[in-house]
Amino acid sequence: MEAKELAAAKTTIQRFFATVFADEISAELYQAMKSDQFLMDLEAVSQKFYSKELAHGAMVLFEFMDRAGVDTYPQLRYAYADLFLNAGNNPVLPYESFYADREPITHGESLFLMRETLRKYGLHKDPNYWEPEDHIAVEFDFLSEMNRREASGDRAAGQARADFGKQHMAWRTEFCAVLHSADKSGFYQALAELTLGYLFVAHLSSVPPEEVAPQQPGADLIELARALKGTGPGVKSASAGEGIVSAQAGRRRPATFQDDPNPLLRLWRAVWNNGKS
Amino acid sequence: MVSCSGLHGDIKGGGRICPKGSANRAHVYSAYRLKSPLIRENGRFRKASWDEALDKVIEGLKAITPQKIGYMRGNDWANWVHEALFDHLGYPKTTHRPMCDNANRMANEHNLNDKRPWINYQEADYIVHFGMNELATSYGSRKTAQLRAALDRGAKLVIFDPRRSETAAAATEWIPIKPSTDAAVAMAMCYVIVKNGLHDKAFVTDWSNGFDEFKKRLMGEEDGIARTPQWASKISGVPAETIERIALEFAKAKAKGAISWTGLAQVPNGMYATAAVQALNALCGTFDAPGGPSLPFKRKLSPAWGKGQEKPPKGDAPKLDKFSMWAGWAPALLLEDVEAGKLEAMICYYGDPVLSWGNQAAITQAIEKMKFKVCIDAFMCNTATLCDVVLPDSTWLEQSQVKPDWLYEAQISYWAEVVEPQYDSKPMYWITLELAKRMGLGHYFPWNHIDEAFENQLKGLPCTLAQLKENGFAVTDEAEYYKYKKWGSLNPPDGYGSSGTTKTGKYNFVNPVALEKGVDPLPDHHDGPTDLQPDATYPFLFGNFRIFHHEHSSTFNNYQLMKRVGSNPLWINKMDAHDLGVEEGDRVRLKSPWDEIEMVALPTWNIMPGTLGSGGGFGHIRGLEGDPKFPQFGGSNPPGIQKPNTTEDMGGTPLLKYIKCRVERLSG
Repeated sequence: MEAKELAAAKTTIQRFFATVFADEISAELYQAMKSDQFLMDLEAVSQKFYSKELAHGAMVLFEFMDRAGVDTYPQLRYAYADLFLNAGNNPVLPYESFYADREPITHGESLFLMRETLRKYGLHKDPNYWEPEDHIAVEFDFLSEMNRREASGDRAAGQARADFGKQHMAWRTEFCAVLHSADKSGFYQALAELTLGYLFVAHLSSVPPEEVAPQQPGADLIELARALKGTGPGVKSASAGEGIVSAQAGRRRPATFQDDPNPLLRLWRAVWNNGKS
Repeated sequence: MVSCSGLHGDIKGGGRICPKGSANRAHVYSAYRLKSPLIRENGRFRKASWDEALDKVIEGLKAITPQKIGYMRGNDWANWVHEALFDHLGYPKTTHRPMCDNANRMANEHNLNDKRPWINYQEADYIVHFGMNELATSYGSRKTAQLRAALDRGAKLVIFDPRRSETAAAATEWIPIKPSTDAAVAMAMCYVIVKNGLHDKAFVTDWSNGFDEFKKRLMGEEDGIARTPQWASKISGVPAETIERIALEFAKAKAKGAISWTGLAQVPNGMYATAAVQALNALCGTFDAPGGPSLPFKRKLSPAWGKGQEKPPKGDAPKLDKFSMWAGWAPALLLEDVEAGKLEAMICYYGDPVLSWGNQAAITQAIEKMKFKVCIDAFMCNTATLCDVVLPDSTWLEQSQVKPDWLYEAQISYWAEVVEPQYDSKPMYWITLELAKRMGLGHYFPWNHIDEAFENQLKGLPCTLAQLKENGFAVTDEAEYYKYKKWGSLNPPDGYGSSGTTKTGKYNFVNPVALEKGVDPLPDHHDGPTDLQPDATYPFLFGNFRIFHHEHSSTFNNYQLMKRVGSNPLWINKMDAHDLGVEEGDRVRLKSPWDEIEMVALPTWNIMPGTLGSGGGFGHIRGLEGDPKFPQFGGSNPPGIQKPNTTEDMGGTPLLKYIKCRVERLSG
């Protein structure tokens, strides 16, 4: 199996996760996930996976979608509002800042580091996507783009993807655990299980094959990508775009403001200024 | 945005900032912000586009008679624009005012020129506060810094309060007083001053109205009951000697002032108590004197509608509730108004009626009974959970406004949009224009950008928008002593505004509006209604209080602030707690004749026996208080157990600080 083939598979998988976490499930995506073909593929691959975790995740998602009736789609919209739009009492906070700082405040240092990373690779967050850059969907989108570049022969992008993936693994797994415990619809629990399964297998795929035998993580990922391709979202990023967009021009503060004495905030300001330069 | 700090030279902050202001980054960037319009379906919420949500709002409103659609604005941000629309439509309106200090205003806004003539602490040497925790109140940190400085240089501060608040703890004397008996003490102080001939005869003669009638009341010439310290002591629990001593000290002090706020407004006798406190100032001629209460004045803005632009004409909005001194929509009577068919729908902008309007179950029931409800808020407040459409509001650092303001000096402030509205939130200005367009009223709101309206508002004023943007504010008028002598009236001259007007141009011991309305126009003590007074079954009086780290019910998703104060235990005097077998941390049931709530007890010496208290604003079922990931945060809404559909009878203010109840220990 070629590295490029594996990267292409990961592109598809990560874009799928970016899409399902970027916004509520669109009617089109829901229909695609409810289609006979997708369900057949998903059930089939869940029997084939070497990884029990991935097999379980795929099977849970299959079972949910297979059971889904005419009333299910509105329920997913309600669940999304509860979990991600703060309509419910136990929201999932999909920002790395939250997991890094352990405070329910966005725009922590993780956000500025993510902006810096995007700029470094000639990317920007789609201005029409109103979540901050350290949102789980943007991070999956970034990884997807790095994999796409790797699949096109850009070896540096492969390294960037590997480094980023490792550094940002812990919070994504915790996010999945939090999502699993908070969701009452079953749908996001299934997505959380599939995402966790993927993260585990993706990790296995980064170590020498002999160390993980008889597991074949590359084969698992290619199978998963094949199944997910039927859902369609691999085509377009929901949250990221190519090219660097200039940072918003700094707004002048009145000359009468005092300087902030907080050294931590000065550090953040330095990070922010570096990001802009 | 990485931090918030004070603005040097600003008349209210003076370069300082309160905890709410300094923690604003955690407010704007709270992870609990509402991000998108939401529409309720089958008892659940789903995401909606602005177009869909606004169309749904229009559809819902069109189905209901305009005079039965209540419009509530909890703050005055860009109020000139949304008031213009909803006034035009004829929707009855309510604001923060009738749930805050309307009783207070019924005195001060008719007896002098404004609701709150703040004391010039910088020069005061004797200060008396009644039921007011100045160090924890809003309205800028410059004033409180000056109060602390006054204490440091030896000024005397006397606090009458059932609770040893932060200010009482810093004061020279804390004098515990039974709730809603402040009028008795203030009247007795007036009695001592007049009896001893210590009043300022020149001021009383030249600048007051009705002194003779007031004197008769004090001396008991009307009813045979002189308002002596002994009389007041029986009512208030304050020793007569203390009342007499404080009165004499106050009268003989050189630079002095007395003031009250909601502590006296959210109890049964608010108007009369406030009038009695201000009568102390009037007797001593302290208005605009060095160290005395400063008469408020601020520049009036020009209309936002410029040449060739037409402001929508006012519609015919009914006044839903009538009180002895005031008519309007009293929030505490919501259930009564809904059940009487006066209200069928509500647009609630910034505020959480469920947690702040009165009996929680009654307010909840009223909202549930209404046919259509819209909430505009930055967070999923309790009221929002009951609404059909929820629109995400921008916070105050995501929108701009021009506003005249006052604290000793007058200034025009510019509130800048520091960051763009987060997520898909929108400011009320934008929401109003979009609603107007959909109603075919877009021509009344002709600006391409809000700055055009600001430019109009600043016409004829001594500063430009560019100057305001550059500096953040423009001081238009310096502080002055005895402004009223220059004005020839206690009311400010043309071109200036204040929240009230004295019809005589003088201080009114006899409230002229009360006189017109056939209400007793003189200050006095009146007992609360019998059914609200403590009794053998419900021996305590509960009152909520302001917490320095929170602002009403709006700051409870701010992690920085919640880390400082994340719950609201029940303050109970240690002796009362001992008698009930209650210890710190015990769960207790706070029970009134009308409802009950569970709380955690905090026995303390800082509240007088027979009274109970807790911080206000808690009890959210969403956000940080509701989130099981943060079990350390969360409180309750004890004022929610007050009698339903009940207010004081002058201004319709809910009785948040006068709820009879008992305490039952549940567990250790």
